[in-house]
Amino acid sequence: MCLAIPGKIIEVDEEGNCVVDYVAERRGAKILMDGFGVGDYVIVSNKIVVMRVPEDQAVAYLNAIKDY
Amino acid sequence: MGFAEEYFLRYAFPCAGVLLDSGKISQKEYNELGDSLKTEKFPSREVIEGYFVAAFRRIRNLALEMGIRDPWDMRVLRKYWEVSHNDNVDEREGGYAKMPEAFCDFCKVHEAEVLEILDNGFLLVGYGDVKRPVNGEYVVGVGVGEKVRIHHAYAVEKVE
Repeated sequence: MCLAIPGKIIEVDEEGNCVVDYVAERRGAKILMDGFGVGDYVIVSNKIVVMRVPEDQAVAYLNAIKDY
Repeated sequence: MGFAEEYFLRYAFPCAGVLLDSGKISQKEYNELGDSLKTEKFPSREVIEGYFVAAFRRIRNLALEMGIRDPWDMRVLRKYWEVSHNDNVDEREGGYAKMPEAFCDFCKVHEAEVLEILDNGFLLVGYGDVKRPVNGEYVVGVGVGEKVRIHHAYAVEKVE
């Protein structure tokens, strides 16, 4: 199965470097295009922010997998 | 030699991060899979099928439906990645059952237009009303306006 875990952007600097908060850890990533900001739930691939996930979907999903 | 393996793994490797995270493959195996796409020295078909169990369950079923004995036949693999895989996601088959809509879209294969060449070897692509960055390492030299097939955050191949 293909699956990815969404994280929440909690910091962004002027060069697009950001910190993404996951339930268990925080990881650095890079934003390459406009349209992503603090508070967005996103999917990161190879340290690049590649997609936004609507907050309701991200939160519901994180709750659903919390017990795994 | 190895074309079917390369074709399959280009589409499937983005999912291998999940196999790694869930402990189904080791970091060493994950690295070897990724390296094999660069060196073109691929693991055996048996090993690949052992990593991507759900995919090959679906691919073998598809081969049966198509009346083709070999699941590695390129006609089967192409139909899988260009058509059947998206149907499996849409039907929320197997592990896709609980996934949010946005993830399912991410897991599907899309034909997308290259809109902009970004930094770090990435491309900004668009399909429908979606615009997002994808890794362009498999389609080096592709230009703005050309079409690529994308899976997860990778441009897998040019649409000829």
